[in-house]
Amino acid sequence: MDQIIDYSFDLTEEVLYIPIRHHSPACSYHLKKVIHEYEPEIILIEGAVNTNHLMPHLSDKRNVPPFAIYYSFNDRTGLLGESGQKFSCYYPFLDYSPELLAIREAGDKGVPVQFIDLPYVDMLLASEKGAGLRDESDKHDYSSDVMVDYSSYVAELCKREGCSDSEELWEKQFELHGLNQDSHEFFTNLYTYCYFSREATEEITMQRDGTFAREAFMNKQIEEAREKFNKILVITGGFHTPALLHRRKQKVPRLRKIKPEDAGVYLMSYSFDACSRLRGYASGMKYPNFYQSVWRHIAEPETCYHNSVLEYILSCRKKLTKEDYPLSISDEIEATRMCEGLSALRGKPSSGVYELKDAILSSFVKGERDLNEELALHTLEKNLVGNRMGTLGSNSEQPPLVLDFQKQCKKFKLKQDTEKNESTISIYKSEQQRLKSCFFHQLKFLTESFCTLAKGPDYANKTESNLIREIWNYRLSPEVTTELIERSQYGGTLVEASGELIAEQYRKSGHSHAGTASKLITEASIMGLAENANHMLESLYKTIIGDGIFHSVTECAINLDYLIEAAQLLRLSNKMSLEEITIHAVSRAITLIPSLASISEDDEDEIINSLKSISFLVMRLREKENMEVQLKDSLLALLEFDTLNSAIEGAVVGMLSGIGELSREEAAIRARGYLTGSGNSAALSAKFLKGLFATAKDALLCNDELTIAIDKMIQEIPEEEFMAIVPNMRIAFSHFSPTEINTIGKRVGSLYDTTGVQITQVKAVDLHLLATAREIEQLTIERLQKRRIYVR
Amino acid sequence: MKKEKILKPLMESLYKDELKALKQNDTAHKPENWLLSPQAVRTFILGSNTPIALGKKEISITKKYYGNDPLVERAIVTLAGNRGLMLVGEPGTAKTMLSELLTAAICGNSNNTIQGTAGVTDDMIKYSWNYALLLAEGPSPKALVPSPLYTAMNTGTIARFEEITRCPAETQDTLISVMSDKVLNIPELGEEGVLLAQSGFNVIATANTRDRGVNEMSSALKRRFNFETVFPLNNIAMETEIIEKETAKLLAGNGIDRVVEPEIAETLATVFHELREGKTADGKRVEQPEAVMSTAEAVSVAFQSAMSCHYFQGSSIDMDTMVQNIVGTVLKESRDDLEKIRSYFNTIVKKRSSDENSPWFPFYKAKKWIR
Repeated sequence: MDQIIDYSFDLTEEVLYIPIRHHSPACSYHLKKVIHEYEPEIILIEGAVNTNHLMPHLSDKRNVPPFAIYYSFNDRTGLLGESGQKFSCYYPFLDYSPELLAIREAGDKGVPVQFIDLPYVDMLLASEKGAGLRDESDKHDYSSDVMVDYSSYVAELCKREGCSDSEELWEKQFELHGLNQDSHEFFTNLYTYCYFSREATEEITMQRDGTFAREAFMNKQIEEAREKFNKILVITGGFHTPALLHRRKQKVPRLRKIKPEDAGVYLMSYSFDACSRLRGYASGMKYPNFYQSVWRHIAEPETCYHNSVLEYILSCRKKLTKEDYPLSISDEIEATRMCEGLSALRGKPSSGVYELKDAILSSFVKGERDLNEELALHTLEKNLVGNRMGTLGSNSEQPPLVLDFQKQCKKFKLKQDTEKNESTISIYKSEQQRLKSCFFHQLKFLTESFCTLAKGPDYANKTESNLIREIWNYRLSPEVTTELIERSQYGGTLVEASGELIAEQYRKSGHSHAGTASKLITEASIMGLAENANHMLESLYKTIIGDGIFHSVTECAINLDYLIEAAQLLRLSNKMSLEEITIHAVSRAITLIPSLASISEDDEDEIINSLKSISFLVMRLREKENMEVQLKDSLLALLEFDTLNSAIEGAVVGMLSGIGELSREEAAIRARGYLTGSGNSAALSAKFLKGLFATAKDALLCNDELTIAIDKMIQEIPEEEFMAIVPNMRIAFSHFSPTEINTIGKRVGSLYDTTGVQITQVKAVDLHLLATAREIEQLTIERLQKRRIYVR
Repeated sequence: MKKEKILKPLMESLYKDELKALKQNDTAHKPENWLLSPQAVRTFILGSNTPIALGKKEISITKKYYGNDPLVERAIVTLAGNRGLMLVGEPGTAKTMLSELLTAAICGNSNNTIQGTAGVTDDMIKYSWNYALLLAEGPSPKALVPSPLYTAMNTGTIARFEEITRCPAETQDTLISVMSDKVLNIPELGEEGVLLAQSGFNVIATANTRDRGVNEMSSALKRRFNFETVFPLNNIAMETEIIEKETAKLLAGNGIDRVVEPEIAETLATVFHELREGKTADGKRVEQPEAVMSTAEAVSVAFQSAMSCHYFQGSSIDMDTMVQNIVGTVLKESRDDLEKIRSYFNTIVKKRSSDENSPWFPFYKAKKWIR
């Protein structure tokens, strides 16, 4: 073994290589000791060289972790394939990240410190598509330990050690046992672990993800440092240490010159939650809040885990008790005993996060694992992840997008505090007010945390479009800056970034869904991105032709119709072309009507509404007569199908009677056919009536016989069948106004020798009772929401 | 003398050598009255790659429980403490087997069991009397007939309570004071009538949740137990292995020298897994039957099919017999389940049967038995 593992942790060496795992409290604990003992002349750290200018900000203690270096690259020239692709990556730092500890220790001692890895863009260039930082994940983590975690060597170790995964193995061997070892033993063990992980990794994998190129570059940096310094401390992920130690021969890549505006490097505040979500690429910080607690207690390494576990048991019980979860001190005692018992059984010197989770599961969950278990474990998980957000106190460089945002905030005189504020805008009053509205809409599109529209016209969802004021709630929090930094690769101003992002979404929608495309056009218009909106409108014509889904094309027509209404406000220059495209969409939707012959029952209500909308649009548009003929033909063609859904049939019959193609009597005859039929006719009748009344209420209002037929059917069917048709019958009658209901009531009353009032009106519900019922409903909803089984 | 053949030997007899070897090599700390340390109990249940010595022999410790390893660890730690262990879950998820393994390893007796039914009364849980002696001598320790719970308290061992939720709720509650105070009062014996539980005493209860005819458990009783929910296996390869192993064991017990062929076991495991989960490996939705589709039921189908083929056809399992037995298993709860199986064959199995060399081909051909 010693022959293979030639790592020497020798403090007299000219270069001391320290293997680390990112975000490991135990690594940081030992590294601190090493820095003190070794007294390096320079510290070299794995990190992109073009971020060295951020070093003063990283070591500035006014900046409180978690924060991250954000790298972005806008590949305008197609260096990595398709031009216009955007790449980004995060390098998060926590209090207990060894790299941050080293940077701050160096700062305190006045020792120079440098990053030595390839710049982000060159890392991308050194990786093949789909590998390393160019894989398909949404968010990338520069400080990933994926290569170590998923090697076959580690998998075998997990099996032998009885650990469920590589993270439990890591916690057991290095975090728990590691704190009881001296630094020499700790780093030698860590090197061995990483060495065999690397040995179990295929060379081709390391070639493809750019590992070799990065290591060659790091080696070159170390060689350069050797010429100037006599004691060099090199801190890198353990996976790279063997290659650096053996100065593996590999061609050093030449750095590309990239336009500064295409490659961004910024420091941004970050959150525990975001760190935990980066887990997708296995960065070893699944539970940042838990390890933060361990780090807080690390001065006493023998008890730091025990104390942290205890804190979590107590806080978890406290939170669950607040949720009316029945727990007592005895449960806490049992959980603590379980932790200790499990750690002894598993050969761990103290309990860690895995024992904590098992203890909560075993001691806090009463009964079968179901919602109770969900709540207890969910509460624990939430605690383990934490909600801490980092703050940046020093003035590091900000991307132009953030500067533009700050400029606009001043221009619109928005309050700069972090409290929740309100702003009212009269959107028709002045150009300035209109621009302010666009500003808020752009921010709503680009960020999640800055603002919400409390009241005002919502063109995207077609509600309250009659309102002339917008009321916005907004809050300037560090999250807004973080989100804007993440968006900075889309452009230098808010207009540019929102325009580019919406264009990207439009491209990604694949030009095949007219409904989605029209919604994006509406959004672009509301944001004042008239140029983008007009550009998208140009290609919408083709999209409509290619879209074979009736509902989608109808949605497109409705959206466009709304845009015509608001064209003046939204500054859409070409109202004529907007109308033309709307006519085109309506016409296309009409041609798709026969495709509704076979639809799913779940879609019937949506399709009835779409049919109504199309009929409504036909009446409003130019070329009305021509369209009416088209609509009639399509509806008649649809009616020919024997398998037609009853609700759709009802709606079509109603529409045809509305345009005079079928008489009211004919419509009523069809309805009676259902009502007096046999077999499953009651259920089908209810569906038919639902469709019929949605498009032609007068079929009932002007026809006594239909009333009698409905009454007869209800009398004859058994109670069970009646209960089954009630929902559809309710929807069917919801289309009538109160006056019309009274008329129907009178008619039904006359059948039973009573008055319409007695039929349609019942004693009002006691207001007190109603209030109590509402209260109960609200409480029920709250409870269900707490247990995450109800979404309003 | 003719050697008796027991249909289902006790765990402590079946794995006598393994337990003995573990005991001999066990150097870790043992809780009071435990035969093995928690580490050795874990190894006994979850198996070990390294054989251990027993005299001149090398004994391999086989894996006996498949599924969730941390659950076994939690169960062991629970039993070493103050609270009882409650294993809950659907029928056929090896709860009973796990409790037998635990008791066999911890106290060498997996047979100290109360079998819960609707007819269980307080005295069956606590103690009853030998009425002849009671009438002759009056109440005395000699006339007392100890229950399994009494025995466990008296000897510092573990009592198993099978199907606890089948007992009426008020009878279940008899356990409450025994579990919390570790004392059983026998007023008939006067001053002597106090039984203090010895160290090592505990209770493992099992409860089904999906069966009909089960009762709710009181909160007070729930507080005296740590609950462990045993889920059905979600790994087809593991389920296949269990079907092969367990059926072979059952067949051997019946003196039949046959095995279930791996592809038959895999087909059966896949069918049960997909019907239980309601979807196939490639994400297609399948209607779930109401019947319990546990691994134990799959073993039972394999065993019944093997017996039937052995006695009536002199062959190993054929697909016709297996489909007949699957139908028999499924048709316990509702006739609608038959339609669900038919639809599963028509959509999922049919597609897989295109290759004549695949086991799905004869399996699909046996569709005629779904009636």
